Amino acid sequence: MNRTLYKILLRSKNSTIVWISYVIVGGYMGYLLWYLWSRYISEPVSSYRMLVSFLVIWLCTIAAIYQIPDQLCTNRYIKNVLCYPISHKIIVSAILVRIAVIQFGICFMAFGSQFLFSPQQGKDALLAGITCWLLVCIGDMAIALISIIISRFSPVSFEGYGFISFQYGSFLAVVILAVRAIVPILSQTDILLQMREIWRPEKYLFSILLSFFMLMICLGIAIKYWYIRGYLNVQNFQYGSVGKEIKPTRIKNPYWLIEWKRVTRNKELVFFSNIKNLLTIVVLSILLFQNFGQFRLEGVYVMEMLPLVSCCAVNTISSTAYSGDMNRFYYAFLPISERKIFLWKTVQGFFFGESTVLLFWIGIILFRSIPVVDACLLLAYGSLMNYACSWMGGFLDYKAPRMANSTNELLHGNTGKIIVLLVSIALTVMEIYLTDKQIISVSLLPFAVITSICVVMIEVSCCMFGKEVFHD
Amino acid sequence: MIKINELTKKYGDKIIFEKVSGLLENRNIYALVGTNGIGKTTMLNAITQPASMDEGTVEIDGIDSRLFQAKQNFFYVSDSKEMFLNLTGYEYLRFVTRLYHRRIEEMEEKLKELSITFKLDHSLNECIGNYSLGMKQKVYLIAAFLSGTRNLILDEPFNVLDPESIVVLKKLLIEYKDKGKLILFSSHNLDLIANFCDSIVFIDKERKIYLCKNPQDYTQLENIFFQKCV
Repeated sequence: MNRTLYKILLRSKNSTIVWISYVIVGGYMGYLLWYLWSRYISEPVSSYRMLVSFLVIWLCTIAAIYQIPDQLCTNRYIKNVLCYPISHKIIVSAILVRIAVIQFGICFMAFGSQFLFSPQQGKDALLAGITCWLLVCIGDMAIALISIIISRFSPVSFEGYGFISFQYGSFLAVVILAVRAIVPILSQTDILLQMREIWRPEKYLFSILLSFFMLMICLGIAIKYWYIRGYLNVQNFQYGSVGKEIKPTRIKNPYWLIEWKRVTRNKELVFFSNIKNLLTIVVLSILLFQNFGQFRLEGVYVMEMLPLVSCCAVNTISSTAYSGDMNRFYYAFLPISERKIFLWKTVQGFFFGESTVLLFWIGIILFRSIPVVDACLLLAYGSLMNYACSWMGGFLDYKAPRMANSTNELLHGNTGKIIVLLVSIALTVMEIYLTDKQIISVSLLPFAVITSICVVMIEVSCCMFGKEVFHD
Repeated sequence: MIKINELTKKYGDKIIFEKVSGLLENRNIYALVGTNGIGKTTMLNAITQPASMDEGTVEIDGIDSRLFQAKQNFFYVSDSKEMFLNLTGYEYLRFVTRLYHRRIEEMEEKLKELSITFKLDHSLNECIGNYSLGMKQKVYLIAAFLSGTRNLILDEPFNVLDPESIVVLKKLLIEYKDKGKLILFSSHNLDLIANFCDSIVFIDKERKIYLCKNPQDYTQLENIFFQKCV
């Protein structure tokens, strides 16, 4: 029955072959990790254990931050089993145990490879692995507990923001913490030796076990008294409040209307999500540029252009233009032009992405003193790349729509976003390289604007004249 | 037996029900009738998912519906046909049988019988997601009969069924009732209700429950409906 429950709650389809593949890839990654440490860091093997523990906890926490609140609170499939005699504890434990098993696999893969490099320290590696997994489980339970508290006690109209803030805030905190910790370790290897002295799993095992059981009890209480009511609150937020009056729209164009209605189902959340993307990109870019100077991407406005183009690329509206449109099944028997609907979808994506571009641009103007002409060029570049990325995201989703199989309807379209991000970054890097090496004798910003005009023109022509693109 | 005590349900400021009470007894088929959007599904959800109620209590066979044991005493077929789409019909039915602690051997026999009756025996190994709307409804209904619970709560069960399956379902429901069980279903089809149920639960225009015996006459039933609900 548990297997069926997993299938219902988590849409899990993983076959034995898939699991074996994961194990092989995981085993290889674990081996590679130890190989790299032993080759490039001249400390004894036992010193790396701390570093591996750190990396494993970091990886598992990131996974837990994204998976647990989604699968526990926004998972729409839980609703299907609520009227069956399945206790809430079974639902929650099914979700948490599955994540814990995956995390156990990660710990096992990470520490298992140490046996190949120093077999005599197997006992220590085992202890470190178990301690690491227990710490990760404590983190999982804490995340589950916070998610239940948010869902139960925050006002229904705020639930979605609460979850995004929690997931995003903790993600950012974990990433910043990781970068802050990893950079000194890699640059001053004697830190590893000092940390090895401090971090002795056997010394802390009792406290860890105690915290584990304490959290387990707290979580049990939270599940018993708060979970289901909290879950229903989140569902009410996701599907809009019944009886809420919506003002009649003034949009007359049917294509614009249908797309506007799709996007504005939850416009506040979309806007919030855009700001979140922007902040992530800015913070990550700053961290990358500050800590990894060896990228050697030099030139005026490189620091502004790369984050700006990244902001344009991560456009949720365009990357879910078709997969997030439940009405698309009816377009086939309505007099709707595929070309026109595509155009309006890209315009809509552009419109929402532009809010991010403008916010970013205002930030640059306020905090960095740049000439007016360059500021205008930067805005033009941002807007053009925004349309180009919106077009690319929409086109990818049109040709290969990814179904919203995730347990959270708000979080799909990530594959499309990543492809657009890679293409647009590659284009910008090429522009930087060509101007930096003076292969092109124009300065970076005007050249980038000209290139982006060309890209947009190619995209528009493809829509207007490409006969095979749409089935009109 | 389902006992509703002063049930209240609100969506924000909008009151759907306020202090609604009623008693539904065993060995009866009840039809839940009301105009569109009056709250029939909300009422059924409130009975089956107590966490969705704001105030009041529901007792199912004398057990408070907030207690877990109450769930063993009813089976709810909701109006959604988008449930368990990634399971095969057979997987879903086995899952339900285990949840309701039915014996597997007994279930296999009954499942075979019901799937033949509903002409679903050749499709049970396909994913529910690939079923037509009527087939989905049939598989959820088979699950209801397999569960063997004392109370069946069905949201518009006849809606997407073909005429033959409607006849089959009516026959099965009457047999179920004769075993001393309770059936509550929502419907808009007054003709079907007039010739089939024992009692009718109207949700009137004031959003109160009005319970009456079935007059077994379509015209009379229509008059009551227009008087109370419209």
